[in-house]
Amino acid sequence: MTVTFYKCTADKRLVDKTSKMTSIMPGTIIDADNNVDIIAPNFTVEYNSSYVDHRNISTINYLKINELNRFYFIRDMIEMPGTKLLIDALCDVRMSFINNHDFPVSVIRNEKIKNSKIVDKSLPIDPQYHEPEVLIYNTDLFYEPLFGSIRNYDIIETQSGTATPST
Amino acid sequence: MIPNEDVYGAKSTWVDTYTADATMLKNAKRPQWQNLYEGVINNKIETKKLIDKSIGYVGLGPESPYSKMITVNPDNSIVKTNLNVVDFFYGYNWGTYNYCFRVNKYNDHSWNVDTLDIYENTNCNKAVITQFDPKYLLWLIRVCVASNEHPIGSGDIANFYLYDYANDTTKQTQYPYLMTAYMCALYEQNTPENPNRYFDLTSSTSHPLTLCLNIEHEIQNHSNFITYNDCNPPTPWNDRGDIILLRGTSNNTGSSIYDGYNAVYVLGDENYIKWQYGNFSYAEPYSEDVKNEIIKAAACFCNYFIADIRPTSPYNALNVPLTDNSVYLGYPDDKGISHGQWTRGADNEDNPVWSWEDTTDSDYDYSKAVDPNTYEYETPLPNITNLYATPYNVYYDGSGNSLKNIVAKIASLGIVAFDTLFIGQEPLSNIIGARRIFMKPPIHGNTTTIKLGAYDTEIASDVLIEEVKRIELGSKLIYPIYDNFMDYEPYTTLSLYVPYCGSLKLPTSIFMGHYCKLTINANTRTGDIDCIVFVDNIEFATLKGCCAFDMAVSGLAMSEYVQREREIQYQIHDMSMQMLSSTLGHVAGATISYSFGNPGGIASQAAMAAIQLEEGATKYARLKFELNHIAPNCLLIQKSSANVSPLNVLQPFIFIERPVFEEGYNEEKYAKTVGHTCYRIGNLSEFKGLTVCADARLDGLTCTLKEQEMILAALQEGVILDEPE
Repeated sequence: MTVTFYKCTADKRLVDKTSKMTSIMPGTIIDADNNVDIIAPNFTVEYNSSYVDHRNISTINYLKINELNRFYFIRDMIEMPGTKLLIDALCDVRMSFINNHDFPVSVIRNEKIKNSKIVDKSLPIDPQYHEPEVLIYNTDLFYEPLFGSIRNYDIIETQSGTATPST
Repeated sequence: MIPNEDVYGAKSTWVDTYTADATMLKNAKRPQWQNLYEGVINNKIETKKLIDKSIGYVGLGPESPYSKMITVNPDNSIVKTNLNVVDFFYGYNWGTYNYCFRVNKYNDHSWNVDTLDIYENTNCNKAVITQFDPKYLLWLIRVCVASNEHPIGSGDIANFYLYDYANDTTKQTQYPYLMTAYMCALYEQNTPENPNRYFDLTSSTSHPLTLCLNIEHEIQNHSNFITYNDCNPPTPWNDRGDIILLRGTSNNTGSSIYDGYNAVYVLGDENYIKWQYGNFSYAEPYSEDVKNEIIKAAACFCNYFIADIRPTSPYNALNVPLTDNSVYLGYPDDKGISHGQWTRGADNEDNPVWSWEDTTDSDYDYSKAVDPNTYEYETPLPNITNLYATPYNVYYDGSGNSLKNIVAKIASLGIVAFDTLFIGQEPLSNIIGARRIFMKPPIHGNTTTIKLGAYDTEIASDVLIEEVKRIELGSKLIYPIYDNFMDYEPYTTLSLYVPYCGSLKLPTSIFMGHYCKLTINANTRTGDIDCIVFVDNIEFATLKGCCAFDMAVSGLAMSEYVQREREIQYQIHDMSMQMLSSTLGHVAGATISYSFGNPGGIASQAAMAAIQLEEGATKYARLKFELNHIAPNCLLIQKSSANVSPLNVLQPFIFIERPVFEEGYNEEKYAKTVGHTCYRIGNLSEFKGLTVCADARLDGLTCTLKEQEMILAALQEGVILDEPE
């Protein structure tokens, strides 16, 4: 099976990494007689000597197994004598599958969409700590601000007799 | 929605009801089984059972007068029930009789017709209309009005088009009472684009439309399939009507329509409905409100209707286009339920009903319950008028000296005054209340002098005029500064403080984003306060308090003192007289005794006289002593009470606690690294940027099971979709 090595600068969570991938070199898996795990393969790749350039090889961190049509993160890489590399890889399901398919999802967090009503416990706030403030209804019903005095008056109620209002 | 095919057959099988030689609703269709009788023998409908509800094309909201069932008692009182009428459909009557299209266990009281159960009548020509094009039906609203409240003859009654009457004060003056409002169907005989409608006021159509109502629940012991139709308004008999909107009288051909059996609401507002058994008529005074209710009632059918027809263009309903300003169209909500709203004129083209090819295009789904409630969005306070002070004297004093002056005045009165002014009463007992109130002065008038009973103290004082008053303290908007969950509990909390009334927690779920309005109703005589808390214009709570305290009223019981003094003086006088009487009596006794030869009696009489004199003198001295040492009692009219609230904050306020972000929080970076909370369901391709999923449906992927699990795990961890710009 053949592989293509890439330099990839994308966040592992990025689904379509194409724009962040730079092809470095091809290679051939030479221990194909051994079982190659499709999820976390571990294999030896031989590459063409014309690609020997340590600067480039050191940038390799991503590969595609062409026959499996899957992309992989390189978890570990050991340079072996000659033009061989021992690779420990992990399948990148995002680039391999999610990138090319569309399906229904229920989304609970998103960078662009916000539902303000849903509680976000990840926000750095402490519900125990508050800033107090007041909204005051300005009224002179109980207090006369001009004279700084409490409003007051007396009411005396007496028995019988009549009082004629002037208004 | 399309009616149930199991009952009504496929739409393609429906047959036309219209025949060219009849005045009928063109483009109306009925089931292939034609009429009700055939529906029964074909096992599509059952007698005494509700007809399949899928035939209703619009729901009746609670604003429709037909949405509620009432019962009418023999004494004409009306009893509301909890039964709701949720929708309706139209039916057809064939034949010459216009009568109630219903199945009724007590059918023998149908009027004008034979008493056979129509399902059992092989000659029954009653049909349900499964679809029609609303553009072919235009209802004309008319009213029957009367010159008095109980018109008895055709001379008392006249019929007009609604707006012909509503816009003519002369007619309203001549006929100020409204008996009936009703609708007559105008059938389009040509096309809506080139209208030419059938209209004849003087005779019934050959096939008048019948209104059939679907009730929500079966009514025990009563009609199961309720319909209502009264094609004959009260006199004059030559005036045709198909559907009643408001009814003020019974059918005056004889018995009432509903002689003691369940009746259908005619106009839902009990302020308008009147019902009479028997043969006499009843009418209600007409008003603008009634006109608006009639329009609303007509709109609830979501049909085209017109309130005026005149022989000349542009008011000629025979040819008027449906976008003419005289034409209304009932407007359903997005669930296909009518609430009495309407469009008019050119706006009819924006009405969803306009776009229907026929009534099966309606969005109404009978299986979804119609909310029978009408909701209000304010709880207005009643208007108060200034209440004058109570019949007894209520004196106002802003100086704080009245009570002191009164007590001083009483103390200055002489003894004689208590007899002549208070006639033995305690002066202080005329004071029945004294309090200090910590509120803005009420309306008061400077008028008189303070009176205690019949005694005028001659102390000038104002008198309280305004017993209660209402003070609007204004509204405050509780602004959601975060515009997210942090504006709500437990992150943000609200509490309201009102002076003298205390505090109240305000739920953020109700108040956030709304106005908190405070209104105080205060009693200016007692200091009692009700603070009403509104959320917008709806009352949420009432806080009660008192901004007053009682002043102590006490003093010497002077009348009691005076009475005691007088009593002692009388006793002293009595004692003096007794002493004198004793002396004289003993002397006389001694003389008599000597005359009868009892010299010893003289001595004993003298001795007794001496003893009695001695006793009298002692008592006299004691009384004199008591007279000079009378201690008047204290009289307590009223104790003082305490109120320290004047020392608290004297402005109402809302206390808000809000959360604070930690330093360094950056919303943009947070969105990129953690993502905002949301809840959306859609295809993955619809989203951008960091996206965290709760779950996914992974159809169409050719991968191993483990890879599928990894895919789901990756989605739940979060994926980045197309770098955002």
